[in-house]
Parts: sequence; C-alpha cells; structure tokens
Amino acid sequence: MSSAIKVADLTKSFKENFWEKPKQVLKGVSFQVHESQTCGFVGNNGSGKTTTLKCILQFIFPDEGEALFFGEPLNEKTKMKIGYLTERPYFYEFLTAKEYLKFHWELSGGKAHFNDRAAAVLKQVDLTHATDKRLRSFSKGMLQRMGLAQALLHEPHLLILDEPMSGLDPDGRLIVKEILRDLKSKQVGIFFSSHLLEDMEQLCDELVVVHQGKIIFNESLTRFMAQFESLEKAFKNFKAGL
Amino acid sequence: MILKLRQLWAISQTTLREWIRDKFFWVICFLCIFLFSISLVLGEMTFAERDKVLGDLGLLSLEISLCGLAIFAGSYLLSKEIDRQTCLMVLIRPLGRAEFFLGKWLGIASLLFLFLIPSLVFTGFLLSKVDVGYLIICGLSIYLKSLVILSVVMAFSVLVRPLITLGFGTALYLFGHWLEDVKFFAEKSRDKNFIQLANFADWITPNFYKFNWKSFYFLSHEFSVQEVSIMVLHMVSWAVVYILFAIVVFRRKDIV
Repeated sequence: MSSAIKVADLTKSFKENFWEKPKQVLKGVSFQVHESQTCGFVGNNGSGKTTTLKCILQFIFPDEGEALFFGEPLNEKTKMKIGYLTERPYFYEFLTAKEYLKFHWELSGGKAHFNDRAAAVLKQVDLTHATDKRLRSFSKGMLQRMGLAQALLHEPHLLILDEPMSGLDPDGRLIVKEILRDLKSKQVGIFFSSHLLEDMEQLCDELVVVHQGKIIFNESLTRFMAQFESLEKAFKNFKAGL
Repeated sequence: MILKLRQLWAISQTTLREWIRDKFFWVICFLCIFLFSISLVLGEMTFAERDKVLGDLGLLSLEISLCGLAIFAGSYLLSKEIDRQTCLMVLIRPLGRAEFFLGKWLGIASLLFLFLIPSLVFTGFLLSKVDVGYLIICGLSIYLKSLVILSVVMAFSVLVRPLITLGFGTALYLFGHWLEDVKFFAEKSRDKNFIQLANFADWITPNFYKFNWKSFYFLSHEFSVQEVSIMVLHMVSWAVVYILFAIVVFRRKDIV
C-alpha cells in the first residue's frame, strides 16, 4: 500500500522569549499514513500533535526533516488532494455559508457546477437549512461541520483534521463521527488528531502515537490493541511500559 | 496564471466584504461626514474664503479618514488572520503566501478607493469653482499616500503586535510630513551627526511633505506632467518596497 503521508526526521525548536534558549518540541518525528486509511494521531497535551500537523503542512517551517504527500513534497498539485480543518476553527463570520464555500471554491480553482457541489457538501454535513445564514449565527457544532464542508468541497483524497471533535456536545460528536464514517466508506484517507480514544477505536485503521515530541508507535490499531479489550486500556499499558 | 488572478480576486473581494460589513468602517465614514460638515459650517461663516475653507478642510478630512482607515485596517488585517488561524484554511489551498498577502492588500486598496470616489465627488460638488483635473490629482496624491501607509503597516504587522504597528504607522505618517523640517533644522544646527541622521531618515522614509497636496492652493495650481509623474513614482516605489519586504518576511513566518 502506498503512502498518503510520509514524514521523516522532523525537528522543530521554539524560543519562548528572544533571550531564552530554544526548546525542542519535535525530536525527529517520523511516521507514515497509508492511502485510503483512517489514521488517528494521539498523544497528551503538549506532546507535539498540532506542531507536527502544522510542520507537515508548512504553516511552521521545521528545522530539519521533510514531509511527502502521495510521494511528493507539499506543492500546489498535492494541495489539491488535501482537505484540512484546524483545531477550534474560526471563520470569516461576516460571510454566509454559501459565500464561504464559494470563496474556497475560487481558491481551489473550481470552475462550473459550484451550486451543485455546495449543495452536496452542505447536505453531507447536514447544513442545508443554513445555506444563506451568516456564520456569525452558527453554533460551535455547526461551525465544525462547516469546517468539514470547506475541507470536503474540492473532493480531496486525504483529510487532515486537528481535533475535529474537541469541544463538541454528544450530538455534535455523533454527527461528525457519522460524516467521518461515511468518508471512510468512500475510501477517503483521513488523518486526525484527538484525545478521545473511544472515537479513535471506532474509526481508525492505523494509529500514530506521539509522546514528548517523539513517535512511539506507528502501526495498525489492531496490533496496538492486541490483548486489550479497549484502546484506553491498551494506551494505559503502553504508556506504563515507556 | 488565470487561477492566480482568480485567487487574488477571491481574497481581495472577501477582504473588501469583511471591511464593508465591519462597524469600524462605518464609524470612519461617519467621522468623515462629520468633518465635512464642520468644513461646510466654517466655510459658510467666512465672507470670501468659503471655497478655501471647504477645499482645505475637505481634503484634510479625506486624508485623515483614508490614512486612518489604512493604518487601522493594515495593522489588524494579518494579525487577526494569524491569531484566529483563519489563514490556515486559506493557505492550505493551492496558493502561496505572497498571493494571500497581495490579495489582502488589494482588498483594502479597493476599500480605500471606494471611500475616495464619493468623498472627492462630494468635495467637488461643494466647491463653486474647481478644476476637476486638479481635484483628481489632489485625490490621487492622498490615495497613493494611504497606499504607502497601508503597505508600511502591513509590512510591520508581520513582525510585531498590531498595537505597536498602529503606533509605528501613525509615527511614520507624521514623520513623513516633518521630514523637510527635520532636514532644515539639521542644516541650521550644523551638527554633522544630526545632518547625517536626517539624511539617513530621508533615505528610509517616504517623503509625504513634498507631495502634501491636500490644500485649496493645489486645487488651482497648475501641475506639470513631470510633477505628477514624480509623485506617482515616489509613492508607488515606496509601496512596492514595503510590499516586497513584507512578502519576504511573511513567506518565512511560522504561523504558530
């Protein structure tokens, strides 16, 4: 199976203040995610999940290392295959849902049939009723689904989601989980970070575990969970062995 | 190429829409109308200087509003995107950071242009005798000045917090107008260090004093083509320098 994401020896240091010594946040992160698989990215707070995602997507520039998407570095061609949703997303609240999707459609180089595509993604995330409402009036769950809609608009091969279920109420989580399940059935690759082990257990084929800026596990979920009845227990046991 | 132009258009349109739907823009519009009203009242209170007062204060109101809008919008434009991380979902699209920056810049430039046109028409309408060509040249100098200010503040907003940028933009606007005075005092003082410092400041600061055409005098002044060309070249060059500087820095900036 070929790789959708292949990350090699990523390191990144940050200075909190100008006069302080830089602190290494990522210490040679390497992992891979296979095409059309759903892969969870798990780790404690401050372990480097968001920094890794930002590094591979070039929002932050790593000190060393590289990330390849479908065998190529991140460029305009590979970006067309990726959909991304940030953690706790903020949107241009002055736009309506349709205007916001139109904006992303233009940026993605989409041509004809915008209305059909917008209607389809809004239906997919259950926001058809809010097409012409300003994003300012959306609840947190609706905004999260709107974020998913913009990520899905250009029919990506790979979705990268940073904590897609954080801060959502049980209903919101259920809806997002359903959307991810639906995408999984359509062979869309998903790489998402989360604290919620229960969701990971239900959705993932593969798992990447990061601990203090290092990858400590990158294989199938079944292998990780071998001999344990739940991911939570497996995770607890795994951490105890570190 | 067509995709790049469409992306620039989309970002600038969205930026323009954002500001038109923002309360702050309407506060500035109201402020401008208020200043125009004051000039109207003061103009009526004079005997023979109505047009002079209207021309001077009208153009001053326009410059204050336009440059104020440029300083404020430019200071918060990028920092808001970075703080809220709204730019991440834009930058993951097949476009570079340079296009994103330019799109944002163009959005505010269009906003300033939209502000300029009705204000100029209104000023022309109030003045009893005015050469439309001269009024346009004065308006153009004010508009280009606001674009230089916009470029400066956007460039510095990539490096420092918006409040500092706000202060810096205002200081640069004032210093650009005082530049000739500073050089004059430096020469009078005969202090070599002061003269060198003033000359250095002249090199790194856009000279707004030389092209300060916001007065009634310039509405009846015969501009030569050379004069106008130098003004345009001066302003455009400074704007380009700051935009290029900003793009170089922004392309390597970590969006944490």
